[in-house]
Amino acid sequence: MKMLRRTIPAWLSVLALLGAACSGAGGTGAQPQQAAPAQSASGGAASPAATGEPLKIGEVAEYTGPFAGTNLRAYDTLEWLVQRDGGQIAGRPVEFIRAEDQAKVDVFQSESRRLIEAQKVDMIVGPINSGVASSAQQWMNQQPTVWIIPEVGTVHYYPGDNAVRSVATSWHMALPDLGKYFAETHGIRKAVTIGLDYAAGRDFVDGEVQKIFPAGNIEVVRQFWVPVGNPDFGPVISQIPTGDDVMVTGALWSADAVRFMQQATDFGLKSKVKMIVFPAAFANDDVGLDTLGPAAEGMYVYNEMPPPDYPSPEYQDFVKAFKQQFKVNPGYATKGYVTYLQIKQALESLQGRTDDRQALVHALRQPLKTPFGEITFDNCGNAIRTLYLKQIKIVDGEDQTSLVKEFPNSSIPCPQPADWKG
Amino acid sequence: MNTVALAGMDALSLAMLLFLLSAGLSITFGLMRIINMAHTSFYLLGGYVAIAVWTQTRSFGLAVIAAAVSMGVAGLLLYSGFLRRFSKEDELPQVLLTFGVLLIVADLALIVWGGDVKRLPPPAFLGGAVELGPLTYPRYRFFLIVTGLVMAVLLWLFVSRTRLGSLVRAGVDDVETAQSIGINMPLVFLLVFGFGSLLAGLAGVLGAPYLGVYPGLDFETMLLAFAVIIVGGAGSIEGAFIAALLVALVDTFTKTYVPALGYFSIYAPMAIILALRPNGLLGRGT
Repeated sequence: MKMLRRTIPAWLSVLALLGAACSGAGGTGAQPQQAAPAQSASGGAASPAATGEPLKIGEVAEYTGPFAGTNLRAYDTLEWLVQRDGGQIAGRPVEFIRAEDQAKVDVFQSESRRLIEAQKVDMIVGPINSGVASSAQQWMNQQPTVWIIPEVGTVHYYPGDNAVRSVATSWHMALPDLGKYFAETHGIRKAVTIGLDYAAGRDFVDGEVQKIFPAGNIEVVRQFWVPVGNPDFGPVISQIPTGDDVMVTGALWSADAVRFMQQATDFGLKSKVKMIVFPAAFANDDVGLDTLGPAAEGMYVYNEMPPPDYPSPEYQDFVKAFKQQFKVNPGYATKGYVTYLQIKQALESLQGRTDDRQALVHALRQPLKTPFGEITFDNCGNAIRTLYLKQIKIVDGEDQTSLVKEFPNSSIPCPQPADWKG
Repeated sequence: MNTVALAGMDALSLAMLLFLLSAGLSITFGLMRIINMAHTSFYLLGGYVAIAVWTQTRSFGLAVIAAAVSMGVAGLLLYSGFLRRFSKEDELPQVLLTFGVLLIVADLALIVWGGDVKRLPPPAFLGGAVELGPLTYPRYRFFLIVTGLVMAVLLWLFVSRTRLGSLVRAGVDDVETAQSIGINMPLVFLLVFGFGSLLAGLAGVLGAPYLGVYPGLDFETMLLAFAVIIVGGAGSIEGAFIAALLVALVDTFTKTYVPALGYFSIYAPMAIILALRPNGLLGRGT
């Protein structure tokens, strides 16, 4: 009896551990966004919409650190749009489950595994970090889920048979027209590149150097590489060659982009070069632009996000509603918007069914009608779409970013480049 | 030559920010042997509080005062509510508790202020750039350099020339003896911890126009702060100042001339100093 009493604490600990394991709780930052109705116990015959089976969507990205703003914006928009639509897609109530990957491959894999095995999600939106996607792609290809990649710009990631890359901006896209435009319209002869020193940053700058500048006979006079999260761009800015035929470009986004642009303004760089042009998530309308304010005036941004004045009544309705909800113009938010349209179209064509993974991927890769044109998908699972060159204008404190030029039918190269490791 | 001059000034401005951030931590660790992993939470919160106050009042001065005072109070609360219960031997519990505070503050800041980068505009008279012959340099960074130097002198005077400063130095050298001769060390600890947090909040508001405020800034600056403490030695204002200069100079010039080593430049002086002088350059070790 005495022996049994002594072992009680151990038994209690074991029971507590078993209880915690069975509860399915835990994981960093992953809380269901909506309460899910009881799952249907029926088999395959009745449609999930008829049985009220929830559609579970995992959202994986880093929610802290320099890229937090952009990632949160995309997923907040996706969830808001579903909520506006009655919390359902194709008749199925939607349950979002967020998981933080900290931009680390091992954390991404463990969190995704938890979403797939414990939470039984129907699909996962993400990852967003290029380094994570390119390192984990073989693992991703083997997982029993569908991946919707809203933002991975590196050419060292290509979607597997269970994935689709819905939106991406990469300088590796065939964009000789952009180089010619810079040279002929703005008299650019020299370029200075500043790139974040990781997969996507290197990719973007390599694409510029290999594809864009040669088309315009633009000489690369200086290249800088900075670590992600670099606090002080002073050492870089002070070495940038200046002149009225010089453009500054490269690969900076989110917090790094805001810091660079602010510090560049402090150093008076804008008046010393002809153009400052950056791609992708650089000072988009909804991330960083309100922080930058006048510092962003006159800059050019290049990505697949249409400007807020894009002449489409349906898009203007979206812009108005978005601004009412989030108090800024949409920019990076359009990634969430396109992802929403894509999932909605696919699920409606399948009457809400997600049990056939191949059918779901096929449906996700169908041409997608959006208020800013049609997006199609190539054999590599990458989007073919229009890219927009925009100039940032701040008028009386209001963002008046406007369209400068469109580049239709742009895409990441397909087939994959010879050095793609797969 | 221009590049060297500009890099030198960049290093100075970064050094002053690092010094303000680390001085409080150095004294706290040297005196109380508290490893406060949440120190840079005060830096982050200081920046956010300053931006919130500025948004309502459009006054940079009020923002500075509000940030510094609120972080000082937060430090007092953290110490009196939690940390004073630990003895100096309870290092692991201190680390775990303060790391937990760091994580909680990071998540709360994300909920309250969101994920976007925020920036505090400097006052108009500190905006723009100064032309120094062929050089153009931001006016605000000059302000940062001057402010940092003034604060360094004031702190040195405080520690070396005031009664309270002498009590702090006595405690850093030997807490037991100081207590045995009637110095109210618990009160000194409380005031020093609060003051260290105030300095971190001040660094946060002064850094906000320069580096911005965003999720993850607390983790990034924590590494810098601890690098300065390790190089300069705990418990020494002079050590923190010299270490901040050394770390900033090495980091800035490495990123200017050998950017490929930019990820490691902060840690090289740390490793060398640890190997040669384990207590840091001017540390008061026991």
